[in-house]
Amino acid sequence: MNTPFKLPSAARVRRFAADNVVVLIFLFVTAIAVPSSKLSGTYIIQDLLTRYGRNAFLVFSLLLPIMAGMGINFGMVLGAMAGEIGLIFAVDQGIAGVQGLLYAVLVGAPIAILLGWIAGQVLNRARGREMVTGYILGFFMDGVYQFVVLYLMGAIIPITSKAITLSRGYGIRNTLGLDSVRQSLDKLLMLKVGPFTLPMATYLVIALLAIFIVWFRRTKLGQDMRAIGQDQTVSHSAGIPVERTRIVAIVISTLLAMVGQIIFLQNMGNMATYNAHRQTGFFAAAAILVGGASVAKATIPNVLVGVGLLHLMYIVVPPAGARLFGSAQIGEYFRDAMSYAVIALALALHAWRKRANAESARAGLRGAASGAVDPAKTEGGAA
Amino acid sequence: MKRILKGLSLALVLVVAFAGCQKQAPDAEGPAKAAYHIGVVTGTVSQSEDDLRGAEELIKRYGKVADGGMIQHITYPDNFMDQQETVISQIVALADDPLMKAIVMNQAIPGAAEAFKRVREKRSDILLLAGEPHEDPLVIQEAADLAVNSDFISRGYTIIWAAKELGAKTFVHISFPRHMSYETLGLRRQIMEAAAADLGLKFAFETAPDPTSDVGVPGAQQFILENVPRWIEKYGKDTAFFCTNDAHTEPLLKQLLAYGGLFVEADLPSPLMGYPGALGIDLTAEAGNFPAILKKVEQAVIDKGGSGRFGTWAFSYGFTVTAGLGEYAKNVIEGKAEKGKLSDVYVAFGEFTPGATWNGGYYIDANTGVRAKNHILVFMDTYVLGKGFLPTTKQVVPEKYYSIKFQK
Amino acid sequence: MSAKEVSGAKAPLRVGTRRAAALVLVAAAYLGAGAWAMLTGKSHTILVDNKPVAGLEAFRLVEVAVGRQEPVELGRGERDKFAVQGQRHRVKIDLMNGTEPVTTTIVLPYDAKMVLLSLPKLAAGVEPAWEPFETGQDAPPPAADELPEELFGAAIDPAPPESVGD
Repeated sequence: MNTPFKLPSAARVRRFAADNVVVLIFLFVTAIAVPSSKLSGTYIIQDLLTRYGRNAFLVFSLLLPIMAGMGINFGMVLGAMAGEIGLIFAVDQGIAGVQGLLYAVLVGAPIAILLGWIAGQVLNRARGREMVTGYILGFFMDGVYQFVVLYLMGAIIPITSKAITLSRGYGIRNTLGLDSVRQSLDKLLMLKVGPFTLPMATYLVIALLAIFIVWFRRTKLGQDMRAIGQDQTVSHSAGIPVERTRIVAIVISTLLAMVGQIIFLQNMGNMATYNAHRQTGFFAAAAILVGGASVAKATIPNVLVGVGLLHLMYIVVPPAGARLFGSAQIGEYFRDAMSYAVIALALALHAWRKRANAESARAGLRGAASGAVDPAKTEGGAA
Repeated sequence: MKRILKGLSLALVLVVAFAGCQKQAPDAEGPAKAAYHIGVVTGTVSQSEDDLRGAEELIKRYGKVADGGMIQHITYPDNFMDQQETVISQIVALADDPLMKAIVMNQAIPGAAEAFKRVREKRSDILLLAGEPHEDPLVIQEAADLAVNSDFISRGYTIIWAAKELGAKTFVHISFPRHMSYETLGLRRQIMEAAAADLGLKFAFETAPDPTSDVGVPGAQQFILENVPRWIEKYGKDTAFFCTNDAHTEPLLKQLLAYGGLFVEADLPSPLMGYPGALGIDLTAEAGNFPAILKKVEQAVIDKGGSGRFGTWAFSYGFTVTAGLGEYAKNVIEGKAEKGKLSDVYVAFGEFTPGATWNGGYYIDANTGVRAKNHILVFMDTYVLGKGFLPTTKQVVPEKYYSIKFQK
Repeated sequence: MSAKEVSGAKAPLRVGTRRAAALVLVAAAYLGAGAWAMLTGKSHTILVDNKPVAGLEAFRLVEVAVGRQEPVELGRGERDKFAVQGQRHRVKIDLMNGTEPVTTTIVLPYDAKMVLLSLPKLAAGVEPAWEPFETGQDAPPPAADELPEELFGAAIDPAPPESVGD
């Protein structure tokens, strides 16, 4: 009686470890780095609180495409670009404060919808290769963005403010000061708790988004997306418009990324006109994967845990590296390597897990036929 | 499942290995603790080695904070344009140290102004010094206590003048759109173009890939390696080449040595800029000793038949700015120098460049004619390898070049 | 983003009208939000000026407040500035001599980046008390497209003074 009782619990521990490898490794590294960074607790917590406000929205924008079985939407940089174009116009028109941000969202929205629709069309033609296609699409649109912002703005697209154009008369400056909208959302409702300042308005926006996502999952469209994420062929025969629903998922993701980028940049107070969006997709993807999501399954807790862990590492590892290894560069390289390693590990794990599940499902079938059921394996098959 | 566990244990081993290193680092906090700290922010070896060596020189002199010394050195990411969040928060993290009294950043890449603003919000007592700022002059002037650029206005003229001295008939300027959108680099290119016309040289512009883009440093360097022979064929051997990017310099020098062509000086000149890699020489023994480095580089260039065709500054600009600004910060904190006094800056720079002549002045905004008291421009004599110094700092730059406005 | 029209074979007309209504609603919300953001978010700089003008004496000492911002004290011939958003502003003038503070509302045109508000005029009830103010530095390019490239490029572009500091 002893052996069958012990087996599942050991398996469960192993399963838990396997499911959360990425999170565990991350916790481990960060736990080592925190004391050696010699940063004060107040600083770490405050920076973490700021970074939540800055990044969480962007990471949320990845949820829907994952739900629809399209993997991580690296094409979200398209949305980020739309947000930047919105901000350029808000600054140019001299519209300040939260209104400036709203204006940027309104200008960015049609662009994001258009870009999202294009991306959706492309991804529908690249089924099964959505992630890499989205990634390359981001590079392509980056070129288009540069062309528009560096050559068309001020030449064909009217730009009135001389402060943001290159003095040749067209093209936007390399670094755009966002003084007029700088931290306007954050400062709208600043809550002071002890030594910490909490940008409540930003948190509120993020909370609303989380509620929207919870609600959206229950709608017909959300159900359709989940069905498509499970099996496209079955969904298709069940009468779900697969292609259209996938496009909608990408459009919403692009729109959210647009808003997310605006929130990100209003906190930064400064926009690298031609580069700010380049790594947006990468950082968001790293965050959600660190949070324990896979390319096939992601939840709101994944986002929250991921943003916290990834950014905790970003805060503590460079100074810890500088102190431990006696060289500033190594900490910096370690931070960089870790974040890429996480993505690679998460992608590889996903592939392994998929195969392992398929194997144990087969084993379960065989086991059922011969009459001797191995509880651990059937459980694995059900996961 | 087994594979997963294998992967997990492998990762754990890696992490432990990394963590294991920490025990070797001495955590001993000596009794002689520095009364204040200076934060130094530079690029890494792969992006801008000279800047980093300057920080190491400061550490050698004043010790690092971890050992009870004065200097806290950190580096910004290689792809800093894409990671402004990291850049900014790293700098702000320096201000978390209550003993921090100054932050020296070389190069002050985009994001520096915002980071300085944030530091100032938290700690108005910290002295903020920017070396070679990338952001618009007016933006950095507002945020920093002092900004130092290589004199992009005077050098727009003097580099062309020096090219003519070397016997150039054509001047080829290699760059890419991101750099050309910087006021400092774009304006210098315009001045060069005007000076070339005045001094009777043909001016040409060639585009090369941006190393911070997706091709990366290897792709950009490959491009230069492949194209220089073609360019020499196109423009002739009496052509001086100039590139605005540090990563482009090494392959450019290598090909110029092999195929002919002239090189006045790098964008941020130094005997270490490009030469060691292009010549394949080992300078570990000479590290930090610039006269010795210069001698060795010169010998190698002469051996390869490049005598009289290649120039540089006798001391590294990047090295001097990092170390010099650190020294200046120390002097200001200790009350030995005055904040914003040009001569005190030169004294601090001279500490690391014995015997060299510096020249320069305050930045003057071409649009308003206003002199910025916290932004200085510096340059020094060009040293032609195998030939000796050119009197660059003695040249009088015609007034008209100072009023050229950035427009292309 | 309604998925309804897919199953709308039953009553195509009703769904069609509902969809149109939703579209109109979205468009109206979009335009409304845009108009609100533009009108209330547009930033202007008001230079408050205590200089004698058109036969009116300057005040010896005056305290001015625009909207809810901190009041500023101005001596004779002094000038200060307020950065504001939106077009309608209450300006409170206190002569600091025991008399009741005077509050007036001024309405600025949407496209005036910077206006010069004369306090003596405002107190005397002269309409309008403000005039547009051109810095010559960040003036909007008048008919930029007619200017030749070089001329246009040669104009000045420092950061606008109101963006200084935060």
